Amino acid sequence: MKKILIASLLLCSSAGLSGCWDRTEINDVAFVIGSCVDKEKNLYRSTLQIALPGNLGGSGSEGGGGGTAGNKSYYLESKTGVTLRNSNMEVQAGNSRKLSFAHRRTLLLGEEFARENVAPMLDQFARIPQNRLSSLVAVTEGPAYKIMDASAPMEQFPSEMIRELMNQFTKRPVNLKLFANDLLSEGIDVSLPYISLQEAVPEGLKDDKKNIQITGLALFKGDRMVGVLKGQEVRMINLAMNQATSPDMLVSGPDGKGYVTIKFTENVAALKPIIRGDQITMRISILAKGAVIENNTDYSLGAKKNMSLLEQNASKEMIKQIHSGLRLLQEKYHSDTLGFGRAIQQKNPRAWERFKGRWDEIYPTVKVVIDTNLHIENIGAVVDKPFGRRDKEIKHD
Amino acid sequence: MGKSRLGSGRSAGALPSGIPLGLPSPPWEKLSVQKSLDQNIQTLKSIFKDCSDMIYRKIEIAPDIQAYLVYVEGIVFSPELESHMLEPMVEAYVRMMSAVPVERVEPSELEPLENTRVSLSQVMTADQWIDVVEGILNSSVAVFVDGLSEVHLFNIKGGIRRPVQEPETESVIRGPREGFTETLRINTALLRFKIKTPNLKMYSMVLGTDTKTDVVISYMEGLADPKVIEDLKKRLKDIKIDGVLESGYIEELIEDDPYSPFPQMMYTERPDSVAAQLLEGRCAVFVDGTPFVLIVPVTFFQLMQATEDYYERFFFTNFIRWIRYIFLFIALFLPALYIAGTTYHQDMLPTTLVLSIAAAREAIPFPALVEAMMMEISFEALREAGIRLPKTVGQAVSILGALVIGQAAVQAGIVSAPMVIIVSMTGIASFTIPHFNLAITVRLLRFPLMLLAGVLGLFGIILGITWILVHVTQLTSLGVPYMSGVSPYHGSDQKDIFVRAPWWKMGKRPSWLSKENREREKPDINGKPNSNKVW
Repeated sequence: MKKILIASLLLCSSAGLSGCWDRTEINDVAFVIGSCVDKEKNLYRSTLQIALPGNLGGSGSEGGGGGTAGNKSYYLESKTGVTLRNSNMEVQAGNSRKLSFAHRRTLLLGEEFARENVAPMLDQFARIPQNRLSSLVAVTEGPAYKIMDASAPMEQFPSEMIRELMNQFTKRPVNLKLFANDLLSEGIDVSLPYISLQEAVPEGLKDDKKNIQITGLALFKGDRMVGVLKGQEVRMINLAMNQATSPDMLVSGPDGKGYVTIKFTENVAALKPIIRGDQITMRISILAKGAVIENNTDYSLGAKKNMSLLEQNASKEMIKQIHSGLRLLQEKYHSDTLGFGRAIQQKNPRAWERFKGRWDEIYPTVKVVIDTNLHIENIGAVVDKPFGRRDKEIKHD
Repeated sequence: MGKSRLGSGRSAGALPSGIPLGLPSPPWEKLSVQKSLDQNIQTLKSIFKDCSDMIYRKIEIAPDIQAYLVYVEGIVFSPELESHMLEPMVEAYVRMMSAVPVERVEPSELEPLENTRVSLSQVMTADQWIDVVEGILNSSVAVFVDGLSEVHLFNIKGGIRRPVQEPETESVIRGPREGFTETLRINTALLRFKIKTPNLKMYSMVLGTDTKTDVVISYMEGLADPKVIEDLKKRLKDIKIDGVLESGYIEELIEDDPYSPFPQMMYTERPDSVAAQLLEGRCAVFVDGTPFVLIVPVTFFQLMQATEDYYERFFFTNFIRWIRYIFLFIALFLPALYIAGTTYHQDMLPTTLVLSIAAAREAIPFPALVEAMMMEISFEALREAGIRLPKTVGQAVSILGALVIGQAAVQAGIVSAPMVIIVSMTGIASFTIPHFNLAITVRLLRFPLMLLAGVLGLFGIILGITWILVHVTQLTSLGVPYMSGVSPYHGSDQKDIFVRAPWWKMGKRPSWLSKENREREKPDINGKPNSNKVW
């Protein structure tokens, strides 16, 4: 009995010796909630957005937190280094707490950096287990650290705001894992949301602020950014990529006057390659269901005729926009954002073997046929005629 | 020896020697009662020296025949003593004296007392001092008659006992309101009121050399496993102790693994609970002097069930049962998980959660483990203080505790608000466990788990869980595996472990208890509710 007691006592005390070495109290950790990568000459600039728990408003925490950042709930720390890891270590050297990258929400790539090879910097993400591969990746207009310090009045941190924006922007936001995956797969080029600062209020207002906004799609070719797609086309290309959450579209009225806005709440897009010899035709079929969310034309949508006319116009508009977007992708940027190559590889692997080597040349020549199947199921209001208009002004057919 | 027992109040059990353990045997141990009354009373007075509660009542029961009634005041039922002993004795004496001529008889010719003078049912005679002393201490009135070496012992148990009241520790919303009392026979009667079959056996024995506590093992013949009954009897007979004041003494003395933190017996104050357990094939141990009846063998899952589970409709019961299991987990692991999460695995928590915990912990001077230990221990102290204090003061304690530990500690920045939430959650969670002895086990196991979490993080918690599971699966209660139903697994038992099937589905008794007669509902009712309704 005595022996057992002594043995168990020894065992218990060994528990105290073995553990604890990696114990870090939560107030010894600096949580990096977002980070930016920029290129400055030959150096990488890494900017980290670090949460200041003392300013997050926990009770009893009045005494904590750094005084440098005023009342912001985060502060930025930026250092340059030969490699990304190197510059992060520099940041660590100037921080009293241990940096933890486990809660990084977003990773922003400066445009200048993105236009060079991004792949080499990916290594560190796989090597430090802390680095959550679910951080969302985006490209910024100009230096990324400027975006990181923009005001995000709705959220606690700008990086959180960017994350929410990206979640709204696509069905499946590109995180680090997907990003690396797409970089490595054949027949598809990566595209990332393109973020820039926009005026929140008309210029000249006393409190003029800049807001973070997704304004386009950064197109990559291999691991280099080659250009940005902007405007209406972004939504439609997104739709064709089967990534649009619920895009809206302006359609001109039956007589060309006024606009009807349609929001496609449900949409599916599929690619189907048709290969005849060296001629590839890509069939993009889009099935979308939507609702009218605004009608400022003179027409009543109650009439079936008007409705089908609207659907036809919407189809035309959609096809036009996708085509114009694709023209840019195919001819200007040579970026296979939609993954035509991958579609061929999946549907017809043997043909892909033939095209693989010359895909860069073939891609711009791929013919695209767009098949739309749009249903406007809902006119979005109880009344079929435009609200607030006299009946005699309304055209029923 | 010529010892005769008539209508003894108890069935034959192992009668202990009557000598306090650790004391030399008294000189009267082997002596027998003499014929001379004076000599007997003298002996008695020397045995009960300095016992002021002894009453020696001298009475003449027949012309020139003196007698003594000897009893302990308070433990005999005095109205009965007066109306059934003293009164008839006096009447008989008066009758004999008023006869002409006065009837004179020799003491040896006197008709037996229980036939002519005393109208009481429980009587025995003794001629050894040891039996006489034991009888007197066991609420009997001893009648010494001059010239007779035989002593009559009339058992009239009485005195002031608590009546049947609502059990305080196991209150229910729906269910019987009666609870056991401190009197053994009231308790067995309460059970007998519920189960009216001769198969309900009450095997009795006396434990404790000084307290001579009556103990009754109750079981259903044919349902309870004979091996378990035999084992239980043997374990009880092996007990050598001076006193048994509560069933807890017995529990600790006979349990399978005395070093296990888990309770291997269940106790209850409720006759309906005992009846239900006996009908499933378990045994109950009644101990005189306590309302708590032991029930063996017991399984872990049984301790997670309340009596009311079977009275309320099964939808609700299932819901509540699941709540209990969830909160069992919370009560055991929540503080440990919090410690592990905040000191080792910040990356595993959701970002917003980790940030708000970080914000709350920003100015806290202690590591999470120390903070948690402090709070949990003070909460346990608070609870202990609340139990021991009189009810009127208890409220003050809870206000003080809530304000000081809760509010002030957080505002002063000594303890973080999430910690207070964790501690109160675990506190509430441990109250959801229906049986107190399992609840204290959980409260106790929380501390080693917290230490493990503080030292080794989640790995430590997993180690702790593994240890608990290994321990619990090898534990037995009177030879029955503690995890019966799950390990070893038995299909039909699943109807009353994690779920509670409706009564019309629970056609069989638990497999680990009754091996032979498992059926408790007829198949034509079983599985078909309302099969013979009129409409």
